[in-house]
Amino acid sequence: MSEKKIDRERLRRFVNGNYSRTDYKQVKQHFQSGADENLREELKEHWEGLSANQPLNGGLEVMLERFRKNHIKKSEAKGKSILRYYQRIAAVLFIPVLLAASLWIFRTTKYQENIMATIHSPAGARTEFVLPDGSKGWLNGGSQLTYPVVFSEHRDVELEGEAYFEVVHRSQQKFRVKTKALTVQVLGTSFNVAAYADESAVNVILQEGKVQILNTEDQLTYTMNPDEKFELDLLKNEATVSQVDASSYTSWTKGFLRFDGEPLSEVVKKLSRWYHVDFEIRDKRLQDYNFKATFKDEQLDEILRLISLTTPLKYRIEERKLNKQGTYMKKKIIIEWQ
Amino acid sequence: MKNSIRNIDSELLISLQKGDHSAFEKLFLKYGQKLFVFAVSYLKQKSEAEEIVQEVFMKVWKNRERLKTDTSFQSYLFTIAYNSIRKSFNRKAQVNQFKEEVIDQLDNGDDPIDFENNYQLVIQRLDQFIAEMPERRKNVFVRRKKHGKSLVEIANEYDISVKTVENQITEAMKYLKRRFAEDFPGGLLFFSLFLESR
Repeated sequence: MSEKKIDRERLRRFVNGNYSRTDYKQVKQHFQSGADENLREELKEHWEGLSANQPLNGGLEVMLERFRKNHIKKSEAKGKSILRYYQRIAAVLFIPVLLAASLWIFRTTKYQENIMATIHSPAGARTEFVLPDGSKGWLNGGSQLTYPVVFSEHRDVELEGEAYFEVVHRSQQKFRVKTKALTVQVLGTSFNVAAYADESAVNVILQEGKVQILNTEDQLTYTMNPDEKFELDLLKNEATVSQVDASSYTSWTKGFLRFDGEPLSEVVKKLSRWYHVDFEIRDKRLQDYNFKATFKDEQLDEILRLISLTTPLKYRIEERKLNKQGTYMKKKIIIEWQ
Repeated sequence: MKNSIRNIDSELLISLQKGDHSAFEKLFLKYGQKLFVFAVSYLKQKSEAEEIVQEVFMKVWKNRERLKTDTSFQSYLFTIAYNSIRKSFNRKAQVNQFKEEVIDQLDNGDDPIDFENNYQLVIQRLDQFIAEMPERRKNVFVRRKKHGKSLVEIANEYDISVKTVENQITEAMKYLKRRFAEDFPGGLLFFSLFLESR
């Protein structure tokens, strides 16, 4: 079967893209065999036959531009540019690396079951996470998720804020999201939980599969079906279930900011988490206006401008003030009747 | 002719050794596209070929102080490119191994389906057909064929019986065969007519 020399015709057909299964298999065999001098010779001949000085395609132009930028930085601060490049990567990787490191350290100790890890997603950010069992999801800005480094009998995690979960199915080991007011119990499915400390309601939206809602005493309250929203009003201690389009509640994981006929007070809460700013609504009449809109990659200014076009409101951005510690406070936006 | 090219290159290389960015740019403009065309012939994917170009030129920049200015820069480029392409090719072949196996299993020689010619298209279609399977069947099929999971493992993961897993895979293979029969009617025309009239 194995030929000593690669069939030149086969290789040409492969290079030109018009090749048969046998052609592919033989080319592959030559690529895989340890030191195939013959293959190298053939490729070298191919290489030498190609002409230089051809115009770059779009992708390569962008690449050259990137090289150029790195080099310029380099000439400004010798030896820093590549370092800076890696620092940027390191900043993004930092949390996962840290978690992996702690996991590795704790695995070697005997107390691993009690070790908890917490992921904080800073305001204005959305953080993707993967749990020890392979379940994954997104943590919205200003939220935190706490979980044991090693899951024991149950897979229990604690959530404050909002997260979207895609749970890996395990029939013997239930996955439970605990919030202050309720617990969501699942076997394997995807769903969204919003339990912000500053909101008077907790809601769970089920995308697919089945989940159970337990109360604080771990008693079963309700079993949800896909595209349902379970909302618990914490002030009245009342639960309602409604039909929704689940994807509109999970679209934040893809960077969409969506308002589904919500009053200004809710809109402002979402905006303040998304953009890390404070709001003050100075006229109560405004709170009753509802908004329906979807934004992606929009500046806060632009969103405010669009809202003010459809509502009798005006807004102004207050200068950032210094607080006692000498750091700047969050930007504040004042909303008034027009 | 060849000699003069070499001379121009070695002047550029001497500048590059001193950290001259414009020399680097000139080399990129000269050989970037050539490298891309070379790499894409074997890797068949634009993004992968571009990665090779980036990898090779990053090496050139990194090793600029140690570059030999008296030997051909072209053969130096070729050597790095050859090794990178080979590595990338083998990695990809490994990942796509299961597709090859699925095609080999589908091809039992009885059906008038042409799996042999136009192999690049056959593999593309296989990707498409798998993507179009119903969600559950696709997951079971991919876990079995691509990830090499056992029937029992898959049954446990989805909380279904081993028998159901088996059925899903049988159905998936039947479905693939049907799709291929539609798109790649090979062999004798008589046979395909016969198949349709049934």
